Amino acid sequence: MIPAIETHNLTVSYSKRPVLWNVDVAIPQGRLVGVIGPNGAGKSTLLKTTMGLLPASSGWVKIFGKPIKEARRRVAYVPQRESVDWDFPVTALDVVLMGRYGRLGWFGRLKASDRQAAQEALQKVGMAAFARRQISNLSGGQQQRVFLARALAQETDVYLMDEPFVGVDAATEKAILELLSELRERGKTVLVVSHDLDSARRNCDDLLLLNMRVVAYGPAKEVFTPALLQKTYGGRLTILSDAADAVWEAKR
Amino acid sequence: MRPRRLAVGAGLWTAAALARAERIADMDIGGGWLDQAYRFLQMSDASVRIGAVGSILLGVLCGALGSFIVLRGLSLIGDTLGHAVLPGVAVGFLAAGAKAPGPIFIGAMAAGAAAAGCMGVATRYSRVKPDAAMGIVLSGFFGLGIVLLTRIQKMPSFGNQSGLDNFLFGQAAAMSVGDLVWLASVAALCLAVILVFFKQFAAVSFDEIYAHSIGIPIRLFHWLLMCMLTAAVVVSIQAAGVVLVSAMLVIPASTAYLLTDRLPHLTLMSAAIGAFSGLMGSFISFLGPSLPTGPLMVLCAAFLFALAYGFSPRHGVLTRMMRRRSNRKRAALEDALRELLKGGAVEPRAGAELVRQGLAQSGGGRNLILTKEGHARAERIRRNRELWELYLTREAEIALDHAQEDSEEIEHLLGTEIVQRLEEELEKGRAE
Repeated sequence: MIPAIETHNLTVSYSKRPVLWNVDVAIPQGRLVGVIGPNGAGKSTLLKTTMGLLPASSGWVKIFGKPIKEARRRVAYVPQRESVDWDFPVTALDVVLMGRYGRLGWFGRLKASDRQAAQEALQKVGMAAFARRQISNLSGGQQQRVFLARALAQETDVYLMDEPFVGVDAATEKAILELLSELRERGKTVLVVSHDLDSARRNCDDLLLLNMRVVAYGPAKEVFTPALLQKTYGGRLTILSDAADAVWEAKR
Repeated sequence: MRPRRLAVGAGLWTAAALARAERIADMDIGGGWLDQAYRFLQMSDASVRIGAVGSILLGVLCGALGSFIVLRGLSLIGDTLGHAVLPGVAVGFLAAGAKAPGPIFIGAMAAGAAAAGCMGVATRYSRVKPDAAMGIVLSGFFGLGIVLLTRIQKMPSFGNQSGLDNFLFGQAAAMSVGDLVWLASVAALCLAVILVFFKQFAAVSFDEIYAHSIGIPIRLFHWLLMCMLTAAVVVSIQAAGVVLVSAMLVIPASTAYLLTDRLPHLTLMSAAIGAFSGLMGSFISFLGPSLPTGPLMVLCAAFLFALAYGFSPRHGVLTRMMRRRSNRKRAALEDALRELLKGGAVEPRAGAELVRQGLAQSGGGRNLILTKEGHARAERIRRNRELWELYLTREAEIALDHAQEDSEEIEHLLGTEIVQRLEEELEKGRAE
């Protein structure tokens, strides 16, 4: 089976300073993948380059064996919540409808089926009751759900999510996790950038340990080891991961 | 479909004005202001018609474009371009040897493009910050423009009749048929582009990264907006003047931003406010001599902005203050009701208010007892407060501004589903 996402020798730089070095990774279809690593490890950069939002200095990314330009309809991107002005004069439904713009082309108009898809996406993230609300009148967790709904409305096969768990309440975190596993059950491939190591280990099939280079990629159980985490985060994290281990053991 | 009708209407109006425009009469500002007002309202003078229609078109064009300029935080770019086109106007004038709209348009567009290029170069290849680059380009180009214009006015071949000083502060009454044709064409083209690509402009303005991710060519739309902005500025300077034309981009859009929470409404409202300000500006400027149109338009727009700032139903400063006051009053009333329900005493002022509203009646002496209606209301308030507190503790995260809202609106605020769930939790809590 063709990998959902494949990168080869991918190097990305910001003003000549590399943030990603020679990234070689092939993510099979239908996996829920947690992307973890310290700040500045290039996690967001990897997602953005995959979407073609940043140019690669060398190497390539392929989505289902095709360059991103030919595969845009198959990937949805969820940017970080802080990246937009939430005072913008749109309602939650308006934002989700933007998820349909990609398939409208240059001159297409929104049809009843688009509105239906947007409503269903809002329903799935538990935000149907807030469809008509202006987006600054939503809590952080609700705003994140609107972003997820916008990606869902795209009805794609791959989802790239940049830190969807940052600044959300417990209820939203649970809702997002349920949504992720539902997507996986439907055979979708999901990449989630996360800072919550414990949650990533428990909920993801695979983990991609990233620190400018790929430290490790594989099933969570195999790569979530103190040695590899130490390599990813440098020295300090071993205590943290030991603690996380202990907590995990205690919970079982 | 409203914008389409709007565009058609504006087109018809322009055509009507043009049809009778041959009879341009020299303006006579001799009569008193009442005579002038009468002349304006009659619309029998071609120059009045041209000025009025031009000002309205200008308002619609700048207002509609301005809604995107303001939302994208490009207001200063509009100001920079407004000033920077001036040398282009002078060069266009020199090239044509007369005040011809075509060459002036081309010269001004070129100057605008050069200014945009200079800003880009200044920020990209040096450590100069963007706002400083804009300041440098704005003043540099404007200085050059003033020098050129002053020279032209002193040239014997043009005498003092060049009319170029009108470009500084704007004079709607000095617009020619040619000016109006250019203005109307640019307005029609820009409004059509905005209408056709509204969803792209909306997506790019709200979330550029995401818009890029779904395949919208964000650079193209950025430059399209920049081109329309420059063209709009160029055709507007005859009536609004280079100094203040950017205000017509910024003020109507900011006013509309205070009045609505939907983007299409914002664009329409901004265009309408722009049209009204433009018309009023040209009207007042017609009333007497030495009344430049541009500043009057801007004053009119600024007045409308001040009104919206104070009294906008949702975002007005005074409206919010009054809403807070009435909320406080209602909270005091609710507190008093709850006190009475618990059998406590309330202070005389709150008690008097309860009696006035028929929620309580005197029970002899200074005692108050709840009426049937008051009792029901108090019960409802108690339940809602409990639910509300439960929500705050259970769902952990709330948007702060909601905490102050009326607790009686809890269903509306949280949705019936959550309220039902909360009620179940509450029942469980009681049972335990």
